[in-house]
Amino acid sequence: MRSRIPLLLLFLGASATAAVASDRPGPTTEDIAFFEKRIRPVLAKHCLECHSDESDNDAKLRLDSLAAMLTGGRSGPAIKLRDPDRSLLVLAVRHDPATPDMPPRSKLPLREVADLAEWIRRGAPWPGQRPTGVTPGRAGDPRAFPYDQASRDHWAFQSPTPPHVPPLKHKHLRVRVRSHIDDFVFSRLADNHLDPPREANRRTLIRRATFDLHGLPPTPREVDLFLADTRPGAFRRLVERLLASPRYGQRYGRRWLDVVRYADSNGMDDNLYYADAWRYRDWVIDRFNRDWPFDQFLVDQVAGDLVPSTPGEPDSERFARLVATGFLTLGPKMLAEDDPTKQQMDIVDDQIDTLGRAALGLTLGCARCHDHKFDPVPTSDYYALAGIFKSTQVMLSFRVDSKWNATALGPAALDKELDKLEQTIDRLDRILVLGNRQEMTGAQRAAFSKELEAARAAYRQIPKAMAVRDNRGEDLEIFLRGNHLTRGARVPRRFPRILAGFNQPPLRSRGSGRLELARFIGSDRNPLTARVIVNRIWQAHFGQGLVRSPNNFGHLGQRPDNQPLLDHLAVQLVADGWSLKQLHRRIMSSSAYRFSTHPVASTRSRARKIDPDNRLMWKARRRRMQAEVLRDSLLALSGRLDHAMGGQPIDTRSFDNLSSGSPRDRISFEGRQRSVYLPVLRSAVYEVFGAFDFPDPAVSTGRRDETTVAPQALFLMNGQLVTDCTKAIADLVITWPGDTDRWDRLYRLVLGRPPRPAERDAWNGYLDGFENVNEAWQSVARILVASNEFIYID
Amino acid sequence: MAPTRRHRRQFLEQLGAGFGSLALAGLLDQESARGADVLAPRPASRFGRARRVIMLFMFGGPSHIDSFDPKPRLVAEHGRPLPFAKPRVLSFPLRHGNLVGSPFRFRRHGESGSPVSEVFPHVARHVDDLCIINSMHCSNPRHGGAVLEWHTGTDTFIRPSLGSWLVYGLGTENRNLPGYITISQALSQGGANNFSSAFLPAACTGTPLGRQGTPASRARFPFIEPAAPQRVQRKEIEMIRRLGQQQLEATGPDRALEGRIESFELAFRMQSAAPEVQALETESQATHTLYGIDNKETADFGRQCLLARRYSERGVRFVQCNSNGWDHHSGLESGMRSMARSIDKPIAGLLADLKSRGLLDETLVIWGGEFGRTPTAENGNGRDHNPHGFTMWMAGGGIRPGMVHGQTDEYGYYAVHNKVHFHDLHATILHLLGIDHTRLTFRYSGRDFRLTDVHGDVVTDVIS
Repeated sequence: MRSRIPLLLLFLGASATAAVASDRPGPTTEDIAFFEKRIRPVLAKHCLECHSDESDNDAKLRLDSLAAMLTGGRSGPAIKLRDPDRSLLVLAVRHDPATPDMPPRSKLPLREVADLAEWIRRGAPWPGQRPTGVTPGRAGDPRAFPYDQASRDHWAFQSPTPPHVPPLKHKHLRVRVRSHIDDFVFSRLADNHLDPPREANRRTLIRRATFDLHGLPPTPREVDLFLADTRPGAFRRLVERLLASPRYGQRYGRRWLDVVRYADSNGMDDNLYYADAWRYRDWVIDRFNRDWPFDQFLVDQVAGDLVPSTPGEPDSERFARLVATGFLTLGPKMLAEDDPTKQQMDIVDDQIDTLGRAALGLTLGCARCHDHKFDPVPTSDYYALAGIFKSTQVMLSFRVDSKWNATALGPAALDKELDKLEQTIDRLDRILVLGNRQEMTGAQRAAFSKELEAARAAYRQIPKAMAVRDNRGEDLEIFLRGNHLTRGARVPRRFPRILAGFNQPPLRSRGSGRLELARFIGSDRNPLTARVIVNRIWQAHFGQGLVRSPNNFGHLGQRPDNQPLLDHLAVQLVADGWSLKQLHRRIMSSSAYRFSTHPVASTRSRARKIDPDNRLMWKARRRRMQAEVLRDSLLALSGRLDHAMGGQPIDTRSFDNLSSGSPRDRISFEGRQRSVYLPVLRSAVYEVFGAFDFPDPAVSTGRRDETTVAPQALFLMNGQLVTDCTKAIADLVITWPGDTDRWDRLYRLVLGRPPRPAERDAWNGYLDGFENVNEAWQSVARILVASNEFIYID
Repeated sequence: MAPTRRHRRQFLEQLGAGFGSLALAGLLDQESARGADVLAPRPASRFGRARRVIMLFMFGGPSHIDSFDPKPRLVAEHGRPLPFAKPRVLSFPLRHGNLVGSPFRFRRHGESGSPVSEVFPHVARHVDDLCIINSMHCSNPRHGGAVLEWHTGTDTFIRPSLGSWLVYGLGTENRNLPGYITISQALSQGGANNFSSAFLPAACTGTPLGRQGTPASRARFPFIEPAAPQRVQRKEIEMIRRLGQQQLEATGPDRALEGRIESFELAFRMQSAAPEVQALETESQATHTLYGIDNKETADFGRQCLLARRYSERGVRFVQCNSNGWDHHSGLESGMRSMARSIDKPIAGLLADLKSRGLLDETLVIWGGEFGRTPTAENGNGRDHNPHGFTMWMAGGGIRPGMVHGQTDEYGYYAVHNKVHFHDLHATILHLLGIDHTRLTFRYSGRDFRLTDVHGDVVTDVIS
């Protein structure tokens, strides 16, 4: 649950802290008169009806004595002596958005508001009462852990242990076992008196495996070669060929980009261009292709800037690790945010929330405003992590239209130069955006603008990464209800206690502690990371995870359909040195991967009754092409796919606003590179992708929808891409001699098989209805790419 | 095996008029799968007269103190400093100057005598139909945040928009058209997040008809222009069906596949329904004049308003017209005049037209932007953003006509009396459509969500 809404606030008890000492003698006569004439009547008239007994108001706040005000209620002290702008009482009567409006609905006369502020500025003189010996309420005990044993005993919080492989009683099942995965799957089926499906035929298998690993259809030649390979191990060789191709990284890299909410713009308000985000995208694809160990893959993303270089390592590796920290910086940002603390904490929250979901399958973000209601993550654990990320620099400043940090990919001198340019851009932007334009002459403005343009042009020339920098480590106070104006106790930076235990040694680093966190998350020292990635890969292969809520392994997530299998694979992954390609091999070498989408007759009706969701795997899941797979396949079939890899998606500068003017006009989805290289704009997703369930890149997405809505049909009927591709296919078809041959080859091209006799009959005479042969074949091509058989992969 | 009748019907239902999903696929999870037909029209509620909404959204934040909320004291103290504290969070603190009175004359109009500025002469004639709320406020002083706050109730999360909630709550009355349409909406300031269904079913998503920058005369739904003659498309859909059935005969029934074939039929029907609605040339010359379509300055918003009326009367639940350019940081006087002129006659035309057709009573018309503007000067002759007090108005749909609700202070900076937050207005709008805002919920990620979160009170004073 990604909720920071102040719902029910848990009052964590007040702990004693130092008394407020008075540094002034008693109130002057003037002060007393001021209080009696201007303050006491206001309090009496507008406040005390509810705030003279804590049971009469939700805030548990009394305002009938100075001590009560200083002690405060659930949100902390109501006043801060001599600091009206940080006193909740004043903010509330000002109807500041950060506090509830007081009185509700209607506002005090402006003069009374000003008087209350003035009174606090004077030190809240109250005849007969002194601000000493008062213990202000200190909500949020950092040691509290308000969860019962059952909550801690949740399956996902226990380390996976290697489960024993279940014995199979039936011989007819034993002979079908191709890997240990099958032992687990078959035994569950047998326990429920169900038979596994037959294996799919070889045409189906090559299509399934190619779409699975590459997101592209197999070419007719690839199909023929696979069918002709009758030696044992043909499928294994096919899988190896597919894994060795760079198309693999493009496909599985894109899957990871869903999880890390990748985009090329900030979204939220003005849509500013993340001109260097693409390096992170290319890094992800490259690491998948190189089978980078997944634990290291995570460490690099969370703390690549802090991982020490190994002796003799080329600079490119160090740069790659800097690029990897884009994971932390390329989230959505409300840059037009006038409250700097809120802006910073929203960025920290995006990092915690994304890291929690992506790596751990935990919704840590829920604990920003209140103790997590379902999982054992109190706010104190949230702010312990928040301290780590707040000590990590993402932005140059937190004012409106602030700029994000970048690091030069080059020698230290170049990075210095970049720093200088960043400062210049930030300074000039501040002058021009926020400055008082009236006091500037036209000539001054022009000079500033020119200087800014020059700095931005120079900035653009430097190769750089959206990367973080480490700052001095600093612990944070708990922000009550997520509100930075109401602070609770300070918590030491540490890892979530449900994962790392209750006696954690303090972080040793003088910096943020991020590298220690990264190494804890990218390891089997916590019970979740290996399971979560295994589940994602399983889901990619089968269409459903073993845990059907891939981003949530907590109490509100789903329980695993087959936990022994999940744990078996998680333990194997660690033993395999976190090699994802090895995991693919293990999965794809199973009989389960080859299951047909048709259940066997003996099983069908019983299976539908006892397991309508197919959790036992009594059939393979038929799957609709994802948005990118559809586009890439259309381009590939028509011979128009550009296999060039990588590069910047929009030719314009960092910080340009992509939702207006000339930068917007530079955005194009017409390119023919693979879809993973198209621009991803937050709040303005490419409409073709939007129609086919491309995820919202503002948040981590663990599993895409598969909807069937009319715009998809409209796209296939009328979309320019479909028109262009089917025209190109028709142009190709008419170069083939003879109608019989044309039907045969077109079917093989699009569907990977020759037409059946019944289909030949159905098409009989279809071409005659057209005057122009190109148009006729284009129509046929349009029908085939719109057909269920093309869009749904068996 | 041919699909059974029961199956066929289920698929149609699951499919719905699914124009949704154009912008953002919802983050549906398993809990959101709603057994019932998402888009089936719901029976009328015991309360709430409105059936449909036409939202007239003014991007940029129109000045309330120059339109519907006159401030004589501000005029009198023109040039003096603001006599009280400014808000803690300001958008452009360095640019703020002294008080600046409205350059426009206000007159009382109609029987109600509600004051309207001279820049809205046509709307002023309908003042007895309006319920003007002068005590609006929201939380975020920036366009991006405030625009999202208005559309979705939050500036922090991706949440379903007001229109999506209404489609979800009430279903749609015309399955050949989307339930929620937004005409020429900006793709900036939150863009598609402003009309997304977020975690609600994709069919509740707002469908953009053109976007900011596209003239309303050229606004079309995505992919709606036929790429081939109708005769050819008919043949193609027949073949898609036939091949699909052959596949099903070979492999057994599959609901998703059968439903997908139906989606082509639906698309085909939409393809002919939408152009029919957009054929404004079928309207009389008098109607074109009424909406100001015959005048260059008012033509674009006039077309938007006429489109809104035509979609609305065909059962589209929520139609939004969008006017961009109300962000008057400088040049307030001329900017306000020209922006007001571009919408004044079209809106008056819309109100008159709805009334004469007997539709106003069941159509709730709402006017407003994401915030108002400060009484202090910015850049000498402009005004800065002001979320602390501003004006929106409603007409038709069961509101109390001819009234002014709430007040700002004597300078127009803060709402001070009968304050109405966006959450309150959202609650009120749902109420006017017969929905209890505390009960229209959607379970997502283990929690029941609603448009108004934990806030919102229905403003009963404005309901007739």
